[in-house]
Amino acid sequence: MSIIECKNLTKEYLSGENVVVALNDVTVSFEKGEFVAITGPSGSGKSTFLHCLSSLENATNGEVIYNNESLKSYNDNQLSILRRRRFGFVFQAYNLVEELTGYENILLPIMLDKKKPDEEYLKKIIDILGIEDRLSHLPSALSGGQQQRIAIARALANKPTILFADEPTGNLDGKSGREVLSLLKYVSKELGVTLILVTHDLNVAEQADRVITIEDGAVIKDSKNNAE
Amino acid sequence: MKKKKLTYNSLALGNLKNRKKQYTLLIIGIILSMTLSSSFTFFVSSAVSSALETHNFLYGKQSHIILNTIRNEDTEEFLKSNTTTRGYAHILGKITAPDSEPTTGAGVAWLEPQAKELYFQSLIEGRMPTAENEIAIEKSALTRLGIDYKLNDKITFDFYIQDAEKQKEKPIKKEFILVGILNDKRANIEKQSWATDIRIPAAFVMDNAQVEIGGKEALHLFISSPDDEFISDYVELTRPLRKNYYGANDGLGWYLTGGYEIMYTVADTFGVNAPYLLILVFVAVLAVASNIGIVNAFSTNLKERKRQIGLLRSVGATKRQIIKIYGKETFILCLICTPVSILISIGAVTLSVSAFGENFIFKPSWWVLPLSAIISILIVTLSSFIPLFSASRITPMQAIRNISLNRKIKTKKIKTQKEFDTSKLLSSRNIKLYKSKQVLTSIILAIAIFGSLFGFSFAKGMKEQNTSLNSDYEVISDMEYASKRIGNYDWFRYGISENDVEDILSNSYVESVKGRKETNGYIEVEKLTDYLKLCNYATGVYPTTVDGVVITKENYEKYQEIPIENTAVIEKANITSPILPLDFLALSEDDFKNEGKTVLEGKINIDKLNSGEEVILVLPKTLQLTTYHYIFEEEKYGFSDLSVNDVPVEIPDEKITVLNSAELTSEFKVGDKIKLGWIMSNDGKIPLDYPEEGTGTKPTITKGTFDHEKIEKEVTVGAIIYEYSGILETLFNRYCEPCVLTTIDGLNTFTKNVPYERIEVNLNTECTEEINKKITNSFDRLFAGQDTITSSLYEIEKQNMLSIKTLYIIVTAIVILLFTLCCSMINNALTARIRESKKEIGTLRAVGASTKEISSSYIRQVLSVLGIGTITGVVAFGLFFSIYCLIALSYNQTQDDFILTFWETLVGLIVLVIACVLNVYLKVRKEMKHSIVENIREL
Repeated sequence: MSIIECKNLTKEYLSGENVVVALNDVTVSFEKGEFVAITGPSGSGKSTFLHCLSSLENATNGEVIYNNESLKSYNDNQLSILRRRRFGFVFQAYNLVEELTGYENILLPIMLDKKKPDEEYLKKIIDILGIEDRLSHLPSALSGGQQQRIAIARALANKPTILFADEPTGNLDGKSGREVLSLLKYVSKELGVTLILVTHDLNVAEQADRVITIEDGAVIKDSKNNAE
Repeated sequence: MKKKKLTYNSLALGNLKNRKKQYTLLIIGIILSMTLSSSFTFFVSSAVSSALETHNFLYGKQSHIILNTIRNEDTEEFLKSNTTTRGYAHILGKITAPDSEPTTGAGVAWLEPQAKELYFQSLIEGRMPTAENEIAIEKSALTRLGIDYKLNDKITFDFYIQDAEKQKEKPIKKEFILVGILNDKRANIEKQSWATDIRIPAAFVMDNAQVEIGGKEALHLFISSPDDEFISDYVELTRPLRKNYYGANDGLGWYLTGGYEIMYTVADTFGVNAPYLLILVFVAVLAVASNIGIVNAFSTNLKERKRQIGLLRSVGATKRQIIKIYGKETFILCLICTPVSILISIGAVTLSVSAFGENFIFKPSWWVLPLSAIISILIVTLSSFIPLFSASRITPMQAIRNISLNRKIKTKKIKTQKEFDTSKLLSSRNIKLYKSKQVLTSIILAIAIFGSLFGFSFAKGMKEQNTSLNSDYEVISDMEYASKRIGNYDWFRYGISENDVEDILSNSYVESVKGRKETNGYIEVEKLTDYLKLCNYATGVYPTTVDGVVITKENYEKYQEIPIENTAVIEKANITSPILPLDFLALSEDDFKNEGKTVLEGKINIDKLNSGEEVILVLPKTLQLTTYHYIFEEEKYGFSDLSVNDVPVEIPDEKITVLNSAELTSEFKVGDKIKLGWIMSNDGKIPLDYPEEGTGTKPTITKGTFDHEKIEKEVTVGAIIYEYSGILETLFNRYCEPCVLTTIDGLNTFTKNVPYERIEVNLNTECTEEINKKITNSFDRLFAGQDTITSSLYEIEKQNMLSIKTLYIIVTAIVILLFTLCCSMINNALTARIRESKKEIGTLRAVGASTKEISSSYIRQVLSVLGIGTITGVVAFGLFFSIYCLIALSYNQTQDDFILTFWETLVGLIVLVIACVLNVYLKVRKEMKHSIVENIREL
């Protein structure tokens, strides 16, 4: 059963007077608990695909269906609620709020939802990510790896159903990158979260359950990994 | 393709071109702040120039006029080494209208060139005299002479020839041709009202004119002197030359022309007009505000500039090269902003000064323009180089990465919140981390709030203060009433007569006239008791203090020294009984209605006062005389001191030996029959024979008869007043000196010959320009030739309304400018903040924050900055006001300069809040229109 799917997703940009097609009629569906790597060369449209799928960006055509409900009819407020409750995001540049400490960044989606934090659950994530001693620091006092761990914890804080990750290891050195990736994998398996990850690194893609390859805005390959 | 050469100029210009939007904002900010600063520099400079011009116009440039001075080698030598400019006026006599009173009229003189320069004369029409028998007269002097003037009229005056310090008693008829009418000099008007023989000239004849045969010219010395000490030295220097004259200072006096300090200190210039003082306070505040504005305008792209500097340094630019690039940029900014702001300022100030009327001119001193430009350029340069200095202290990479937050972490303790309202936490954290930027805005707002509360409360205070005239017109006669005398002499014949009042009442616009009379009189008593002696002592008629001698109750007789004029009148008017000399005061019936908390015995019966059956006595209930010795700097002094009504004698703080203390109670009772006496000299003279001037001998009682009118009448004491209060307190500035009080009608039953000292005239209709003109013209005709001062409520209100209106315009303009600057600073700061926070906005949106939550975070920041500024401003004004009230209280004065008013400030604040909140909301909304990805990718 698919948790999220997109039908005929097209995204066009205006570059001067030229129309650039970033996504061209993409139709894909994702199963619950699946770890999917989206790969492809630079400028192929893989990040745009992730952004449109996760409602960070509106598609020019086509639709995204989450839990059998098209997101086309959602207004801005409903999309905000969806993002804070059901989706989690991990960005390449971490994107932590500079003025908030590590712990406050993690709490952000919960507080936006005006909920009581599940402290036991949060402790579990923090323990897994190994960031207990960095929680009271502002992001500018943390290393890249530490910031990305905080970003993962934030993405998972509200127990999302889908975790979107856009080149989460792109800014990290090899060791930190490997650690972050294994953490993402571990956490998503542990919590039963669907992980959709954009990467251009084939080593990373190899670790996914399924690999979707995009080129010139179109899915050219959608294959299952049988490595595990 | 033509390659462009990379120069410092092209780099600097490139910066400006590539960031057009940001630099436009920066330039607008700088121009706004520079305009604010230079506008008020121009305004103050113009205010100073105007005040000086006005002062020179009204008084002349001299600081002092030494009257009836002496010119000889010694004094010339002294003057040469002590003054920069000096010149003499040659006083040739005095002119009056034919057959009018000799005490009126104008001094006639010609001025030496230096005196002319100092006296700063200006012609209204005509020219200065160049031939014999030509004359130019000041405008008010013409009115005083009662002349319906036209240029080139031949006018015959009574000419009193100058005879050294006085004028000859008998005038000659002399014909002059009126060739010029001059603007008034206040020195002349003020000195004129003293009604003495010593006059500052108001009528001018040709240069080097000679005094008439038999006369001797007097000299007035016009000087520009640094201080009063110089005058004292001059008086001392000339004292020996005058020892043969009768009297103490021998007629040598000096006249301070309208606060000479104006010539020396700028600050005192503002004392000329209260609103200028307010402007001075504002200018200081605005100078700070505008400089903060410029620094703030630069700080909006501080982060970006630091990053730019870091980049340049990382690619090998030396500090010197960077300074050159930014130096060029600053130069270009100054080149654009300085002339623009100076031009705007000149335009704005020229327009605003026109609101002040003709007395206020746009005339900044020559140095103001370059000074204003230099200050502006310095501030812009300093502000521009701030990021350069801070970037040079860190490594290029630190500059690029912007380590400001890292630094803040070390200095600020951030406590992690376990639960929070996102928008609230974000705004409070922003305020905490970017405090310095917010502080500047809060300071400006605090200044705006303080300025607004101060300005509008002051303006309201002025508005209320200036409408205090109780009637439509008030005419005050300078009749030179002299207390402490038994008789009434020549000076007493002037004033406003009953006939004048009848004339005024016959005017169809006049509803009522009420007035006040004051005259010298006495009560006949059976015996001069100790109480009465002390009463006399209080009035100064009997014994006075003699230095070094203790006057006790017992030795009064020994040192009794009755002024010779009083002795002469007692003898010549054949007063045989002992008398208590005192003043007779007559008030209107209305004045008695507001008696307040006056302490009295008996009852004020207006009917009986009007019929002359009763009078009220004003006397101290108790009198205390204390005599004592005290030692001061090893010298022994003996003194006596008198107090009334249980107020203890104030004894100096030195070593004291009290010798005698007597306390006496009033001997008068309500219902007593007393005999009042009043004497009027018919020829206006005191019965004394005066010796030749310069002989040094005292006058003697005349051998002939004393032509006088004496009225005596028995009346009943209806009431006795011990302490004044209410209207009576405001009418008498003396401390409960003995006097007989009655109504005008009551005094008229006694004698109608006492003129009014002042009258209040009320109209039966609303005063208009036309009515006012008619009334004032009728007063001018009625009182021509007399020294009277007329105040018109209509004119005062008109003048006040103009001043108040001007003041309100200035205050409103300044407050609007300050609020605008504040709004611009908040706008700049938040625009920069939102621009820098695009990524953060994107992130917040990505994790599920709605538009409402994000805008609310920024709006909270705006409100907190505004809140802090408002509270600071209100508290600062509250403190200022409390201190001001305490100071006023410590001087026993009521605080009425400020009347608190809040609504203007509240309106300004509400507009500011709405503008800022709306601006922020729209800016956030604009960002939200972009997709989240665009927000995140922006930086």
